[in-house]
Amino acid sequence: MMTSEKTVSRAANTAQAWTRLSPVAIAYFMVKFTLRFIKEGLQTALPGLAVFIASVDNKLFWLSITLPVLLLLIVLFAALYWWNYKFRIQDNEILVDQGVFKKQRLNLNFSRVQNVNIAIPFYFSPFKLVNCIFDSAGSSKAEVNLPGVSGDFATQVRQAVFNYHRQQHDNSRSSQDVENQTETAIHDSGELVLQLDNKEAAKYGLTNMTVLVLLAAFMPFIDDIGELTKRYVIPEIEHILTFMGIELQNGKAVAAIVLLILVVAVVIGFSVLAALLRYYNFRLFDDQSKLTRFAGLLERQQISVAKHKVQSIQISQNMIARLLNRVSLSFKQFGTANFSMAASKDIMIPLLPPDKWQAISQRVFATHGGNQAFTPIHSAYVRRVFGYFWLLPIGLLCGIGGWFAPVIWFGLVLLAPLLLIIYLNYRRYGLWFDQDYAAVRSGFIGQKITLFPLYKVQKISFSQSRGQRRLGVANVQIIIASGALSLPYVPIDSVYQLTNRALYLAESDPRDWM
Amino acid sequence: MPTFSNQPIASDELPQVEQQTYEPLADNAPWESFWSATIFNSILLAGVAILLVVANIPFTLLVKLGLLLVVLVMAFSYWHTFASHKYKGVRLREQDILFKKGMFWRSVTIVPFNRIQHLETHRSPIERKLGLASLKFYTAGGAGADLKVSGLEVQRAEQIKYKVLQKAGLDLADQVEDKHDNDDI
Repeated sequence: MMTSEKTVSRAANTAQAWTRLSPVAIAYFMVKFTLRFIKEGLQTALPGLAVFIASVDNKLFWLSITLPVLLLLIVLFAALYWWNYKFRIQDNEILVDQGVFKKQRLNLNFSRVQNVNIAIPFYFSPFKLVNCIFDSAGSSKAEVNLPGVSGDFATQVRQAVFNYHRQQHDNSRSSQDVENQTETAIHDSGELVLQLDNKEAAKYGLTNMTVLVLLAAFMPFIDDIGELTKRYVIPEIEHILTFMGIELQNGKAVAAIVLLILVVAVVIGFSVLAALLRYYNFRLFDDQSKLTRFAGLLERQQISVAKHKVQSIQISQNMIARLLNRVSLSFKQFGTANFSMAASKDIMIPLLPPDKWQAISQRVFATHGGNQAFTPIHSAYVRRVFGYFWLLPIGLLCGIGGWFAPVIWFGLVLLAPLLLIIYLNYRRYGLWFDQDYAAVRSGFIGQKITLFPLYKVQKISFSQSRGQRRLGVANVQIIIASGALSLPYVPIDSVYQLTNRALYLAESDPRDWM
Repeated sequence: MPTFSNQPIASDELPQVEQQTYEPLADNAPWESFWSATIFNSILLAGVAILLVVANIPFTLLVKLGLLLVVLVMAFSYWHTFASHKYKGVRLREQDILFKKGMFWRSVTIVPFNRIQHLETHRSPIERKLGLASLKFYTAGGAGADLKVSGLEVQRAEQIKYKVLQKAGLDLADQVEDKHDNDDI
C-alpha cells in the first residue's frame, strides 16, 4: 500500500465511527450563531423591536439586561450544538448529524465535492485546528463544514476525496480540479501572482463603507443617544477645547461638529479594521488550472477557484476608489448573483492599481482585449428616461397638487439633480465585444465593468419600444451564470452582432460553460 | 491526427437572429388570458362592491371616477390581450429556441438548447379546458434566466418539449462531432 493510501486509510479509520469535533469548535459555533442572529434574527425580531422602541421608556436599562441574556443563550446553544454535532466518513461519503431541536443528517458523497477549502480562525491556531469546508458548487446550500478538526486530518480527507475522483474519472476535469486542490498544502501553491501590501487592504476599508449600514441600527435610539450626548459628551468636549486654549463663541455648535467628526472617524476606523481582518497578508497564486487566494488576520482563509468555473470578471471602482486611483477585481462563479452564501466563494482582490487588472484577468480569460474603448449608448436615453419617468410624473403631480397647495411646486427643484444622475448614468453605460469576449460597463460616479466570454452566455433577450424602433436602438439583457447584465439604448446593429456571435459560440464551443 | 482548422468566421456568415420568421401561437391562446383576467377582475370588483356596501362609503364623484378608471384599465387590458396576440411567436432552430412577444414593447428571447437545465410543462385549469399548455425552460443564472412560452396547443407543446429534450440530450452526447448548423426546422 502506498504511503498516501496508508494515510488515507488512517484518516478513514479514525473517522469511520461517529466522531465529535474538538470542544474548541464551541467558539466557532458561538461566532457563527451570533453572526446569523445579527443577519437573520434581527429581521424576525423587528415587530417586537418596533414595540420596544415605541413603548418602552428606559431602553438602555432593558438593553443592558437583554444583551447578556442573549449572549448566555448563544453560548448554551453553541455548546448543545457541539454536543449533538457528529460526523463520520464511510464508503466515500461524509455524514454529519447536526441540530439541537431539529435533527439533520447531511450526506455528501465525494463525487459531489467540488472544492475542499480550509480556513484557520485565530482561536483554532493555538490548538493546530482548522475548519475543513467541503464545497458542492452550484447550490445555495453549498457547504458541509467540519470545524475544529486537525490540519493533518483535513489534508488526509482531501487526499481521500482526490483518490476517489481519480478512481472514478481518470482523465476527467473534476478529478483534475480536486487533484490540483489536493496537491496544495494548506500553504502556498503555484506561482505567486499578487501580494497585496496591507496598506491596500486598509485603503479598501476606506472605499467600502458598508459598515455605515450598522449606523442604521442605532437610529431607533437616536433620541436617547442625543440626550446622553448633550448631557455628558458635548460639555466634556467644550472643556477640552477650553483647556486647549480654544475659546469659541458658540462652543456647543463647535463641540457638536467635533463629535460628528469623531463619529465619522470611528466609523471609518471600523471599516478599515474589518478590511484588514479580511484581507491581511493577501496573496494570490496561479497553478495554471486554478487561482488560490490566502488572506485574513484572525481567520486565515484559503479560497480556490478553478479557472474554467469563472463565469465573469468584475472590475469595479466606486467614487472613493477613483480618488485613490484603485480598482477592485472579482472572479465570479456560478450562482453568485443569487446566493449570498456563494458570493463568499468568489475570489476578490480588494484593491489594485488600474494598470494591473488586465494582466491578472488574462490569467483566466487569456485572450481578451478588455481595455478597449466602449461603445456608448444612444443619447436619447437621457431625454427619454428623464422625460417619461421623471419630468412627466413630477410635472403632473406638481401641477395638480400645486393647484391645491402652491408649496408643492417646489417639488420641481428635484428635477435638476435627477437630470444630473441620469446624465452621469448615461455617460457610464457602454458595451464592448470582440470575437470571443464582451464587457458591459455601468455606474454613476464610479463604474463597474463585467467581462465575460461569449461562449458562457445562458440566455439573451432584447426589447424595443416604438420610439426605440424609430431610433434603431434596443435594450439588451445577457444572462450568464453569475448574473444578468443589462444595457439600454444600444444600437440595434450591435445588438444583432453580439447576439449572433454569442449564440454561435455558446452553441458550438466544445468547452463546458462550467 | 484530425486536421485542425481555425478559419475566421465573418459576422454575416453566422445565423441571423434578426431574419427569423416565427410560428404564431394557438388561435385560442388569448382566451386563456381573457378568462384568467375575468376571474381575477370579477373577484376584485366583487371585493370593491362589498367594501363600498359594508363600509357604507358614499357613492361620490371621486368614487365614481375611481371605478371608471378601474373599468377603463380592465377594458384596455382585454383589448391588449387580443391585439397583441399576433405579435407573439415561437421559432425552434437546430440549436436554440426563440420567442418573441409584445405589441408596444417588442422583445425577443433566445435560449440555446445546451443551456437548458430542465424543462416543465404547465397546464392551468383554463389551459386544460382550451387544450393549451405552457412550457418553461430553466437555465443557470437565476429566475431571470428562465423562459416561459404560453399559448401552445398541447400537441405542439409536447412536440417542442420532445425535440428540445432530444436536442439537449444529443448535444450532450455528441457535441464533439456535431457541426454548428442553425438552419430553421
